[in-house]
Amino acid sequence: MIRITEYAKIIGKQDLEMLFKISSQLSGYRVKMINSTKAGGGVAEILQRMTPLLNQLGIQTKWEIMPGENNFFQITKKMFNLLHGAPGGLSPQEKEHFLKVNQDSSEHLNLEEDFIFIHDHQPAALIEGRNASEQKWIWRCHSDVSSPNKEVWEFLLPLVEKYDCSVFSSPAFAQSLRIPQYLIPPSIDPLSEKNKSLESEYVKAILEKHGLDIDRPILTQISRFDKLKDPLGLIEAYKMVKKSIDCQLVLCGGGATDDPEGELVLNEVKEKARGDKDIHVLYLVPGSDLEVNALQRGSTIIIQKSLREGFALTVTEGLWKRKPVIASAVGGIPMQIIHNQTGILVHSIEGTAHQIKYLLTHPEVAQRLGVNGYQHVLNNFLITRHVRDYILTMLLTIRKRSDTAYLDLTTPYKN
Amino acid sequence: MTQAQKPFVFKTVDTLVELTGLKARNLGELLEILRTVDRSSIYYHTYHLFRQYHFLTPNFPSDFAYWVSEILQEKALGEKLTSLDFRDFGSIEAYREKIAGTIARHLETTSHSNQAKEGLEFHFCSSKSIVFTTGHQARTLEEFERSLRKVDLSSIYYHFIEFRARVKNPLTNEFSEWLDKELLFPKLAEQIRALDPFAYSLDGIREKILTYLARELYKDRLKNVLSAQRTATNIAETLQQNKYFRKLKSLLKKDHDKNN
Repeated sequence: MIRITEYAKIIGKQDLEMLFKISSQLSGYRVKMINSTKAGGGVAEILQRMTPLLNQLGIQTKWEIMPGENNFFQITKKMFNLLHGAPGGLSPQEKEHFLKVNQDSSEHLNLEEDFIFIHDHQPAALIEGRNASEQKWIWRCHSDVSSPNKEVWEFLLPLVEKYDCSVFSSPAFAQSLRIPQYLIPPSIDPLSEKNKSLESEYVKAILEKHGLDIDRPILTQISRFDKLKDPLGLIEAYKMVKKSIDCQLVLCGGGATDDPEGELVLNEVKEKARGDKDIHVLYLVPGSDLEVNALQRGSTIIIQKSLREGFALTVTEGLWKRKPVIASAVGGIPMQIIHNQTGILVHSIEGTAHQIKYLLTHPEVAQRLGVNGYQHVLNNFLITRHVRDYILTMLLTIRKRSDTAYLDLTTPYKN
Repeated sequence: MTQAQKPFVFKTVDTLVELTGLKARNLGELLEILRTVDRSSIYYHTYHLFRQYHFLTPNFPSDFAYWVSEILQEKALGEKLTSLDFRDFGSIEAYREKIAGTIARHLETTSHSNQAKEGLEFHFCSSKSIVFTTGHQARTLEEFERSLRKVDLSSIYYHFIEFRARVKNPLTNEFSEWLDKELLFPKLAEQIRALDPFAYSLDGIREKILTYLARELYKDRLKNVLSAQRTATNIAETLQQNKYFRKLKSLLKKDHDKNN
C-alpha cells in the first residue's frame, strides 16, 4: 500500500499538510463508496486507490461492490448507452428488474455510514433504501450525460433528486436539478503502476515484446473496446496518415466485467485491422498496468478518438507522461486539453489525421504540448486533489464549523 | 518595529466548483444568461483561469474573452473583451454591464452568429469556498514576511485575489488593506495594490511581495541603526560599514536594473 506521505515529493509538503488539516474536520466520520465493478474501467481504478488514502487521512472509508447478474448488467449497459445519448429506451420489465436488483442489494449491503457515495447509475436506486435522515448521500456520476436519452434520464431523475448533492466530471454534464451539483474531475494516481516513472530499458522491452519498431512513430489509443471510443474511426485516420508518413498504430484495451459488448467490438477492430502488420491490436488482462504505462511512455503521440466520453483518464495519463495528446472534444476532454496549449482537440476522422501528421512533422510543438500537459495534470488532475474535493463535498453537505467558514464567492468580507 | 493592534490572520481557501446547468451555444445565448446569472458566476469566470492554469501565461483575462475568441472565432469582439480589466470597474455589476454592453453592440452590427461545436458550449459555473485558518499570523512586518514565505499558494490566492470579490473596491487586496490601515505602511500597500494579477503566477506574486517587504524591512532596520547614532560622523561611518546599508543598496540597484 502506498503511504500518503509519499505524495509530498510530487505535490509538495505544504499541500500535503493542508490535506491533513482539512481531513481532520471529518475525523470520526465514516464513509462508504459503492459501485458495480471491482476491476476494469476508470471508476474501479480510482476507488482502489482512493479508499486507502482516505483511511490514512483519518476518515474511515469502505468500498463495496453492488452485486448483479448478467441480466442486470445487460440492462445497466443499455442504460449506459442511453445516458450517452443512444436512441431507444428501457422496457417496463427492464426498469422493474433494475429497481428490484437495487432493492435486494440495499437489503444486503450494510449502508450505515455517515456518508454514502454512490458511483454511477447502476446502484443509483439504492437511495430508496435510505433510512437514517442524518446520513448524507452523494450521487457521483462519471458518465457523459451531456445529451442523455430523455426517457432514461426521466427514469433516473426522481432517484437522483433524492440525494443530498450530485457530482459530475465536466461542466458539460450539468443538469437541471433541485439538488446542488458540484464539479469534480476524476484523477490519476502518479504513484500507481500505470503512472509511475519507468526505466527506458523496460519501456523498450515492452514495445519489442509487442512487435513494435522503436525507430518509427507509434500512435497509441488505450481504451476499452467500445464503439463510443471509435477504434474503427481511428484506424481510418491512421490509414490517411500512413499514405505519407510511415507509422504504427496501437489499439490497446481490456474489458470491464460490467461491459458485455467488449468482445463484439474487439472482433470488429481485428477485422478492420486485418492485413496491416503495423496495426497492433492488444487485448490486455486486468492488472497489466505496467505494460500500459510502458506503451504510453514509448508512444510518439497518444490519441483518444472517442465519440462520447466520461472524463477520459487515458488522456490524463498521456498528459502526465509528457506526451502530445490528440483527442476528441467530447465529455471531459476539453477540460484537460486547452487546444494548442496542453494538447490538440479534434472533431473528425480527417481532423485527427491532419493533426497527427502535423505533430509528427513538428516535434518542437509536440514537446511544448507535452510539457504544458504535464503541468496541467500536476495542478488539477492528481488523486490528491480528487481526495481533497471529496472531503470538501462532505464538508459542504454538513457545514461543520470550527475554524472554517463556508462562503459563496461574493459573500461580503468580514474579518 | 511597528506593531499592529489587529494581527493579520493568514487563511487559506479551498473551492469546489458548482454547476449551474446553464449553457450558451452562441453570442445571443451568452448575452441572455450573462445578464441574469448570479454575480458569483461572473466572478468565477473572470478569475478561475488564473488559478487553474496559472502555469500558462494567460492570454485572456476571462473565460468570456477566451470563449468568444477561440471557440466562436469572433476575433474582433474577442479582442474588445480581452481589453476589459476587472480591476478598472467599481464592482462585479459594473463589469457585467460592460461585457454585456460590448456583446450587445456587436450583435447589433452583425448579421451572422457563430455556433459553438457540440461539447464546446459555454457552461456557467460558480464556486463554493471553504476558508480555513493556516495557523500563521502577524503583528509586525517581520512576522508578516516570515508567514508569507510559509503559507500555501491558495492562501496567496485568497488574500490577494478572492478578497476583491467580497469588497466594494476590486482594486485592492487584503495584504494592502492590512499594511495600510493596521501597520501604517501606505507606500508598501500601494506597491502591492499595483501588482497586476494577470502578469504573474501565484508564486510570482508571492516573490514580488517578498521583494517589496525585504526592501521595507532593510529600510526599517537601517532607520533603527541610524537612530542610535549621535553624530553625523557616526552616522556616515555606520552607513559605510553597515551590512543593511550594503544590502539595501544592492537591492535598489537590482530593482533599478530590472526596471530599465
